[in-house]
Amino acid sequence: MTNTSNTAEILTIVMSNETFAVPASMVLEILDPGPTTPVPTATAFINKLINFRGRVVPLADLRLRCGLPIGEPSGDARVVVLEIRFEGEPTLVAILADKVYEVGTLEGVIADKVPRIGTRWHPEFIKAIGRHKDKFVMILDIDRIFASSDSVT
Amino acid sequence: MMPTGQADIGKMQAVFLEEMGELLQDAEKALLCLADSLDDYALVGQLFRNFHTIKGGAGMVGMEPLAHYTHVVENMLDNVRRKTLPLTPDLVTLLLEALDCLKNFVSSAQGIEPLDVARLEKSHNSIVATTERKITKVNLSTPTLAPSPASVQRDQSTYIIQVHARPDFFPPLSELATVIEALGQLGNVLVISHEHSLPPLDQLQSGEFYLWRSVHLVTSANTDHILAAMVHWPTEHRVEILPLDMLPEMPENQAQIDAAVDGLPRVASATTLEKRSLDGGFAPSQPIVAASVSPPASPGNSGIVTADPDHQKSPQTVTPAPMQQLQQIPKNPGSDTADIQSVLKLGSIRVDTSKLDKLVNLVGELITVSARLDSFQSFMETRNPELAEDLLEILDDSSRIVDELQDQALTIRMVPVGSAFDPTKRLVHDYCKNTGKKAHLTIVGYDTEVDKKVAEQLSGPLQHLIRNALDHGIEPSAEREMAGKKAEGQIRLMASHQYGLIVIEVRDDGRGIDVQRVICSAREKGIIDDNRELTEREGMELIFAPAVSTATEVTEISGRGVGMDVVKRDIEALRGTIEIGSALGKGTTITLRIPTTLSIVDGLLVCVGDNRYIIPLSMVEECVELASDLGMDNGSSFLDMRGDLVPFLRLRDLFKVPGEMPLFEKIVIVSSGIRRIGMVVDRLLGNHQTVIKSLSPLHRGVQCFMGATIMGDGNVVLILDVLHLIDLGQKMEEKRRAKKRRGNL
Repeated sequence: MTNTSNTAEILTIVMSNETFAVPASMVLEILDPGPTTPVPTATAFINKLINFRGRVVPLADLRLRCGLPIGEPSGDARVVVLEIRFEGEPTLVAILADKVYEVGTLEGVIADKVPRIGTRWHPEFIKAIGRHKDKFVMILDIDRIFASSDSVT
Repeated sequence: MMPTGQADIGKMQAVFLEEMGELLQDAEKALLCLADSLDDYALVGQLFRNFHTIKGGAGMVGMEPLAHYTHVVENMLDNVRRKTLPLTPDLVTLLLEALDCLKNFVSSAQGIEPLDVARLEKSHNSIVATTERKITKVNLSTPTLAPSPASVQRDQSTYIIQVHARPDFFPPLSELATVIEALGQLGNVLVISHEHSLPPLDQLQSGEFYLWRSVHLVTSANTDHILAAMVHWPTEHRVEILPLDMLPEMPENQAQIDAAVDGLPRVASATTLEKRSLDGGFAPSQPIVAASVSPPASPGNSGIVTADPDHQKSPQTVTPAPMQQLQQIPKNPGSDTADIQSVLKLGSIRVDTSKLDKLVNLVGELITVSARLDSFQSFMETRNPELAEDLLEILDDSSRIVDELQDQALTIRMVPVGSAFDPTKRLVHDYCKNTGKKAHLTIVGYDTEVDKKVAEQLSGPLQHLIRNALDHGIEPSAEREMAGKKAEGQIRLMASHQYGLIVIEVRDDGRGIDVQRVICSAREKGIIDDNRELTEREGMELIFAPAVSTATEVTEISGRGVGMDVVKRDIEALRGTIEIGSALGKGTTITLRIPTTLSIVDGLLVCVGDNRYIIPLSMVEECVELASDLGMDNGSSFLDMRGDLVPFLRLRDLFKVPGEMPLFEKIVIVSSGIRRIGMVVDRLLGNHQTVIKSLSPLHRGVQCFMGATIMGDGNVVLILDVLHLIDLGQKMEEKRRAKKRRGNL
């Protein structure tokens, strides 16, 4: 991805009380949580399937991937369907969010590199920290999160 | 007429290459038929047309070397067609080689493989050399008299040939020029362009082709020759050939021609051909010679066509006499042309398969939405029973349409399985030529329909099976005669539909398989235990084990002991089964049973914990109840199936399902040939037919499932990959056995 995220449109979501952002251009749809199907033997963070308009789409829990604590499920929980690039191909994946705010414009990038110290989550999945409505948001490196896991684990 | 920007050339080339591939396939088919019947000149005509079309197309898209090479081949075929060059097996071989060179042209243009220039040159030179050996050198390019041997004695006749291109297709001018040139070789030609068929302004269709031409030809050749000279035009476009004894001389000016041609019927539409030809001023006894389906007309006998000036002026008037004539002639040649044309008009279109997949997906969505509507309807019954009743009626209608839509969407992907059979014909031909063995391949059920993807993936395994039949099955002629068989080995490839499956049988009348030898070979290689007794069927199944072969010597074609296991894996990847039967000395039959579509699976719906799974029914042998004592016994890893020990796999354990296991578990016995395992599930829920969705690439590492499906209630259900689970079961079984052995020591 190019580094045009300074002024990019983002969707802000909440996971484990932290605010994260994903590029709005990736977001296809925001759904209420529905029935899921577990995929036995699959990697823990992506071991469910949902039916997204007749298509079988993996549902990922990024809290597991990023090492965030899992709290009680809330009524605000949503499923965000994204179109990512996986091995160069457009691929659908859904992620769980405790809460979804809105689409907005990122006001600026504070840090290109995330400090390794002082964070509870895995910094390698955060592309940058930006400012949005006077709050810090962690911009997720979505493609990296879903890239073949060998480089990260 | 066809303005072409540089950018379009590439696109046109791609389209042309695809069409060329199809033309080459057709040509190969024709050529292999020709190899069997060397006197079938209709096939030569077809081949000539194929090469001619390739040449024309190659010229159009600027592939000059290809056009040149094809021209050389076409030239040779032209001599064969005119019988100035004898049709020999060597010539067929030469043409097959030419086909391979042309295929190489296609794949090199597509960037798949480099152009084999040396091979091309060799083929080119031998074709040129062969062409030069023709019996008599008839100089056909002399414009005056070039009588073909058959028509020397006849006087010259005059024909008016009406050439109407299909209204929806702009023929390349080069093609028209070629046809006119070919006619010019038969005699004196005058070409006139007409625009009478131009409809009034308000009926003009943009993109349609209204200009037509008539050709005035004075020749001693007969209509057959004229048709032949026009190559594929008579079948693709409307061509009418009228003997005109009225005008024995070349007309002197345009006015004379116009006078003659104005007497000819005007074009209204493509489908009113026969009416038109009778409407017009002519009442010919042999009215129209059109297309190649018509009986050969001899100009000498055919009635002189007289023009009635009244009818010329009012072409709409239908005279009673011709109408009666129409009824009296049940099979009017004109009507055949009309049929051909209506078929051509219906035709077919090329569709990207991804679009079809999208269509199937959308239908799947529709099914899901319908299911949601159904549940809403049941909810409504509690609130407003009256309205709910009405809604139910509408839902019934809609679900019927959705079902039909799904069937149709899947049908679009169907192609004749014959496309997978075609390469085997060439294989048999080449094999016999190279080895001197004699074999004849019969194909039955060429048109049996199957999903395009299945047909594509069948081609490889079928070639392997045919190779095996040729190499191991069919004996050399002398040996066959000693055994009282026909010298020529018989191989039959037969396809048919049975219970939603396509059944393909490959049968040969060769020497059969020596089961004992297979068993010995398997013992030597340690594939089976020395002391294990095998039934004949089990022995036969060993053919599919890796590295078992009965061939005593390795040939280039097959016999390395690899193969049948690969064939089996390929067939199973299509969710099919393979079965082998053989009688020593009499022959071998291999039967493949494959679902006709990859998009739908007939499955057994089972329950493990809170989740449902589908097991493809084609692999299910039987379902039994797991005796609870057996289930509890830790030491037992086998299930006793009527004396057979079958390892089993507990899906609860594999999938790490928490919670209490039910009191009475079920075992589903699945098999892939001799390999069988039992899969322990909680409950059986029944049969279920579903549309298969592939799993996301993000789940590529997950091997227990081959796909997923969406149930009527909108939930996703996974489909078990039985082959993988069998592998898994066998591995666990081996581990257990190894452990036990260590324990014993």
